[in-house]
Amino acid sequence: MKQPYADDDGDRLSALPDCLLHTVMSFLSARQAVRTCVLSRRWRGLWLSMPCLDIDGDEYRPATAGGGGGATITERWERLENFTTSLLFAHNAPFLDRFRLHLPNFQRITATQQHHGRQMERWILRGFRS
Amino acid sequence: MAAAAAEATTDGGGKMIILISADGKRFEVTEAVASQSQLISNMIEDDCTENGVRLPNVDGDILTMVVDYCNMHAGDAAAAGDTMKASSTEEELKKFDAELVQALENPVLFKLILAANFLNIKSLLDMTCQRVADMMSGKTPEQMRETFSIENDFTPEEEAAIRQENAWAFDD
Repeated sequence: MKQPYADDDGDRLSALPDCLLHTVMSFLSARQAVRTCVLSRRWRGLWLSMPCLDIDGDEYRPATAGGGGGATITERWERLENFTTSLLFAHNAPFLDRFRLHLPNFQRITATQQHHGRQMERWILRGFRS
Repeated sequence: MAAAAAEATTDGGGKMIILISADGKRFEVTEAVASQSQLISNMIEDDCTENGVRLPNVDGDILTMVVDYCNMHAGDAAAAGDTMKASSTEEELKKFDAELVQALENPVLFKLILAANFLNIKSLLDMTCQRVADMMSGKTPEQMRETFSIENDFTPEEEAAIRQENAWAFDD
């Protein structure tokens, strides 16, 4: 364990204990939190046990930067579905403090296409399970 | 603030407590102010604050900020009738918090997080951790490394493999 007060110019963020990094990550969307895994070895597996999951459909809006430009609602749903399913499959925190599933732009899909609606229900049950 | 009688003045805002920083600076605060720290609140309950509370891992400059914060927020925590003398309005508090958190830069921000964690002041811990998250938000991993001086200890091959493994979060 590094000394938290060791050097003033070093990487003080990574020197924080896991529980405090999890607190920091609890203020990020799940997608952003997962993306910290490439920062360094210290960060690689942190997201797997973070106790707050905030799945934010706003990150799959029509005009997202890069690639997403002309995507249809179905394509965007598929990306979101791929993200959420992969996240919930790998994530292994023993319990959750907070679980948020925010899908403001997908009602047309979840309300009219039954299998998508059921998929969403399964995600919500995952939130309850822990 | 500078109450004359430090002993047994339970009527005017409670007893005073001395906090002593790692570098020996002393801060005199009311019980109401100090007990926003869950750690100190427990010590008060256990009657072990008589000779001052030594905080060997909190520097004086950081403890100054913590005490300022607790002074500002003493009102909303201890909503106990007349002890909340002239507590700050909600707007003043918001402004104070926003200015405090905006002014926080790298080493101080992290020292304050550690102090808030050690003293167990949840609102201050949340506020400072939120600030770090805001500094990460919307950044690429490369930009985050730069912001926080994080050393990338992966080989390029390893990093590519991790991105591949978690491609579902890097699909843009």
